[in-house]
Formats: sequence, C-alpha cells, structure tokens
Amino acid sequence: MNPYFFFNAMSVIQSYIYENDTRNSTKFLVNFSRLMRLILENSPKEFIPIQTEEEILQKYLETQKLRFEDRFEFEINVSPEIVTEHAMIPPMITQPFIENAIEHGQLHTIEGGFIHVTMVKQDGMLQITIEDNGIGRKSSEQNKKSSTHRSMAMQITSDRIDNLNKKYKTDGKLVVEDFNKKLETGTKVLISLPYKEETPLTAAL
Amino acid sequence: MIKALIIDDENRTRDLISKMINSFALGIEAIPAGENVQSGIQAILDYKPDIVFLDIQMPDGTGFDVLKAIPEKTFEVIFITAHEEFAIKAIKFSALDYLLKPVDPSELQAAVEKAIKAIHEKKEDSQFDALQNNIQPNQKRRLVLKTQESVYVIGLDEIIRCEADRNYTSFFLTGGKKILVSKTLKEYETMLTGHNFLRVQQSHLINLDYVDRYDKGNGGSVVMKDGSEVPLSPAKRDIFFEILEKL
Repeated sequence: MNPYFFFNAMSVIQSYIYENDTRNSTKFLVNFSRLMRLILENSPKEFIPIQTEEEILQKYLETQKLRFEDRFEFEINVSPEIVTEHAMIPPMITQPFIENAIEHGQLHTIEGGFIHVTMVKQDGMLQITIEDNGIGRKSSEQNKKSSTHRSMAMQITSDRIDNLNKKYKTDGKLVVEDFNKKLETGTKVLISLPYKEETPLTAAL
Repeated sequence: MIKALIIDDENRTRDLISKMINSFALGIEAIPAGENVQSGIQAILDYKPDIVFLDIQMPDGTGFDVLKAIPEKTFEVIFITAHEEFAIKAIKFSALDYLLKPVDPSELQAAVEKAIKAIHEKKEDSQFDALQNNIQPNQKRRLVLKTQESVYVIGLDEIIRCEADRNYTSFFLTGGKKILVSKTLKEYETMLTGHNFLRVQQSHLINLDYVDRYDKGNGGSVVMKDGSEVPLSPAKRDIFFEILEKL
C-alpha cells in the first residue's frame, strides 16, 4: 500500500474538521481505523478468509471515494459458494491493482468511473477479475512515475503467485490487459490462485 | 490585495487551503482554481496571482510542469503535497516553501507571511532599481527606429516622449518631428529605462529631461517642454516625484 494513502486520508479528515462536519469526520475516522486494524492484523498472514479481504477492500475503497468526493463507483462481487465454503485468499493481493486504478487510472477525472472486483471459483482455482474504466495503461505510461508504480505492483504480485504455484503445485497466473481493447483505455487484471478452504474448525486449531 | 491561487487535483484540498488562508485574516484573496496541469497554467494566466500553492502529483503531470510552462514567474511558489521526496527538486524551482499534507495551519501561516514579505521586498527592489537607473549619468546613446519607408537614427536626447497606439509606438521628437514605429511601447520601455525615461502611464513613456511642469488639475498631468500634456497614473506618482527630486 502506498504510504501517501495515509497522509492523504489524514488530510481528508482535516478538511471535514475545517467544515465543522462532525458526522463525516467521525464516519471517516471510524472507517479508517477499522481499515488500519484489518491491515495490521491480516497483512502478516499467508491466507485470510475472503470475507475479511472483502471488508478490507470495501473500507479501502470507501476511504478513497471520500477523498475524491464520490467521483467514482465500485462494486465487489464474491460468488456465494466461495463465502459458504470458507475460501481463503492471500491478504491484499488485489489492493495494488485497485490503488493503480485510482491513482494512475485517474478514475476521478472520468465521467462514470468505476472499479469492479469479481471473485469466482473455476476449475479448482480462485479467479479474480479487477476491471476499471480509467485512462488505461497506454495513457498513464506517459507519466514515468505512474508506469514504474504500475510495474512494481505487477512484479510483487507475480512473485507472490509464483511462490504459491511452487508451494501448491498449481498454475496460477497474472494477466493484465486493456478493459476497452479498441480504445486502449481502462484496465482488466486477471488473477488466478490456488483455491484454498479452511473450515472454521481447522482455523480454530 | 495579494492574490493566492491554489492548484490541486483534489477539490477538498483546494477548499481546505483557502479556508485556512482566510482564517489567518492577512488580507489575502484565496482563489481555489486549477485541478490539473492544464487548468493550473490557465488559472495562473487568468488570475495573475502573487502566490501559487501548488500540488505536485496531478492527473496530467506534475506541478513542475506547470512552472515550466510559465515563462515569467512573477509569483511566489509554495508546494503542498503528501510526498516528501520532491523537496530538493522544489528548491531548484525556487520554491519559497514546501508543506506536507496534512497541512499544519501554523506552518501554512508562516509560509504565507514569508511570501507576503518576499512580495513587498521584490516591489521595493524593482522601484529602487528604476530609481537607481534613472539617476545614473546619461550616456550619449542612439536609437534606431525602422518604419516602412526609412530607418532613423536618433539621439535619446531628441526624444521628448513616446505614446502607445495598440501595437504601434509614436515617437515625439524635438523640432515637432513624429515617427510611428510598429513595435510596442513595452519594448521601448525596456530599452529606455535607465536612460532617464519613465513610463508615467499605460500609454506614455516620457523623457524626464523634457518635463516642463506638473499640473495638479485633471487628476494630475505632466506637461512636456513641447507643450504636450501626458497623464500621470496614480501608481507612478511616488516614483515620479522621487526621481524629480534627484534630478
């Protein structure tokens, strides 16, 4: 997670304070604190319940939305069988791509900007799709800092997937393409990971 | 009134900084305008601010790109960003200060006060320079004026005054001669400042050696030795009389 996210979030709270907006400053603080707690608790773990991951993303995206005054929408769809089967996921595996969509895809500058995260179980693998209709990789590559940041997210995530592949002898992948192939805008990230379950009983042990 | 422009890609930050500046009650007009490099450049050209608060990371580039696009920096720059790593670069762009988000209001106030001081000093300096240049002994200099038909070589001591007519300048010379040249008064002002010439008003540049008198009527005007009358802008009153004292 980009450290500037924290400073920008603090700046948002400050702006609510200057507006004497007690309701929103409290709402933001509670949301942000919950996010920090989740990140601190979960990021050292190898796997966390998908439900927890969903909550982290939810809180993270809500924080970012408040920062940009609701100028984009997001949706997280986790297929129901995954939740009931207690599927597990490496913590924050999608976060760098969501961050890229916001920071480098410049979603707040786009009319009807959105991020969609979908998680399904397919062929014994966990398939994650992250789509956004931001400015896309081609446009953001013109900004040097954006493109190094984007490639850093790619590197870290593919290293994590490689390690999982070795450990679980799977064929997980990371594929990044344009969301709108014709206009070369937006980004579509496909991540496949070994599907892991943990029943509440084994988790307790 | 000192104008402060705030350029930042977050609406929220623009409003926050303006609110903070207003709360200091330093008599500064805070203008939150410019949400990216493009509109930031435009806002600087439109508002001609004295201070610019500038974000670094913006959707279509950086705050440094904004500065690179402005040929003549007539304002003080204060960067406001969550990123600490650009501070050195900011110094190279002659930034007056570099504030980190979230912004400490007392740091912001100190920066604004520093900017006000710098603006006043600059103003005094430029007036002093004009004064210094004007009291230097007149060197014998000539000026070449090109018109469509002729090229004139005239001594500076032949010029009584110059008058702007949009992109043209009329030269009124001793002996009642008049020459119209297709260059702006601004260009001649640059050439002639330091040779006892003063721009007394938007459209008038005069040779101080040919001042006959100052008339108080009509909001104040300068009468030249050839009898012509030139308005004196209130903004130039002080410097005009200061120079006359030294003549």
